[in-house]
Amino acid sequence: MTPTESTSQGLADRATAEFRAYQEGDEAALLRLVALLNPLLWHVARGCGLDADAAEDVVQETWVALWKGAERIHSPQAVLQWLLVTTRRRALTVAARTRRQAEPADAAQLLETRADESPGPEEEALGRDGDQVLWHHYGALSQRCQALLRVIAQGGRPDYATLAGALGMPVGSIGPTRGRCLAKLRVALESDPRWSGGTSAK
Amino acid sequence: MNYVDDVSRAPLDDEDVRVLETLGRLLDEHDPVPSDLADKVAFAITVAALEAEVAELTMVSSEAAGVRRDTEVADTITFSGADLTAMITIETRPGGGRLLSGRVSAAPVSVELTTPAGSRTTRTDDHGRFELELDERCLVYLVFQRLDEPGSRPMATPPIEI
Repeated sequence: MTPTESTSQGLADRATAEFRAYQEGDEAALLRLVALLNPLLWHVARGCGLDADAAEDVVQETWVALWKGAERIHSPQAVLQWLLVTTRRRALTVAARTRRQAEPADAAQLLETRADESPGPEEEALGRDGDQVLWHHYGALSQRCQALLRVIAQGGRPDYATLAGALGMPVGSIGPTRGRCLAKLRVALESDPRWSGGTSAK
Repeated sequence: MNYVDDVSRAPLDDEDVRVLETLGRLLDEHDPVPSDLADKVAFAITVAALEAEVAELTMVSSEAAGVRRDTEVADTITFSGADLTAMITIETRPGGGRLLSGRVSAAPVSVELTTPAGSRTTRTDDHGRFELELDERCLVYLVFQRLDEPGSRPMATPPIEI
């Protein structure tokens, strides 16, 4: 089985396979890794509050840093975590710098931008029933929880513990537990009669 | 909040997976990954690999602000590096193809064109002129390498949509 065919595996396993192939001399594997993980890194950067241009820059810088330092990552299994942590650290640095540079006059605009990112009534009216309920409750979570779930939602079940762990969320030692952010979302959905088909979260 | 605590300590179930899948789809709709991000990453890695200088885009002009000559629209873009300048005229062909006619301030120079579909290389004539054709509008970048000074630093253009 070649790395690209293993779509039934989680992101972490596929990333490990591609990075191992790259380290063994398959140059094209790096671009397959980029295609595989760009959505994840994009949402990490955007979740840190970066605008689209800054998020693109951070994602590009992270990949160049990986290209430059690939031989220093001794275990292919570590590549996903390395990319997540590096993107997040860079994005937080840029976000802090941008906030410092922002003129007081921009603050109102910034708040407006933030508000724009939450679903508006128009979008809600357009959405499918379950979608709009979920989007509403997701938008009501803290920025921190939104940022975390935004990234975790990019992976499948096998990636939950890896992604959560890399983002600093405590996960169970036996099997992955939900953690507070997903728990808050589940409880909110459970108490909303518009959310159908749900089973008890407990 | 005790109920949230209990729920947070419970294992992931099928409903969680469904919620996360739906959320992932909604986020892709509301905040999609830019479609050209992978190409930009490839460009950034190429520049780093070549230790290339990224040329500055010094001038963009649409001929008489986009006046059409028959069915063609010509745009001219000038890129400048430390010791190389490239002027590229882009003509749109009927059917959407593009013709890139370039002039570089040195000769001979190898010119590598990279598109999402791949790369190809040509070289200028002794007057620094070159031509390249594209089937359709896409994101491209060019890397110039002076052949008269083989050890010199290559110059890459920023990715441009042409």
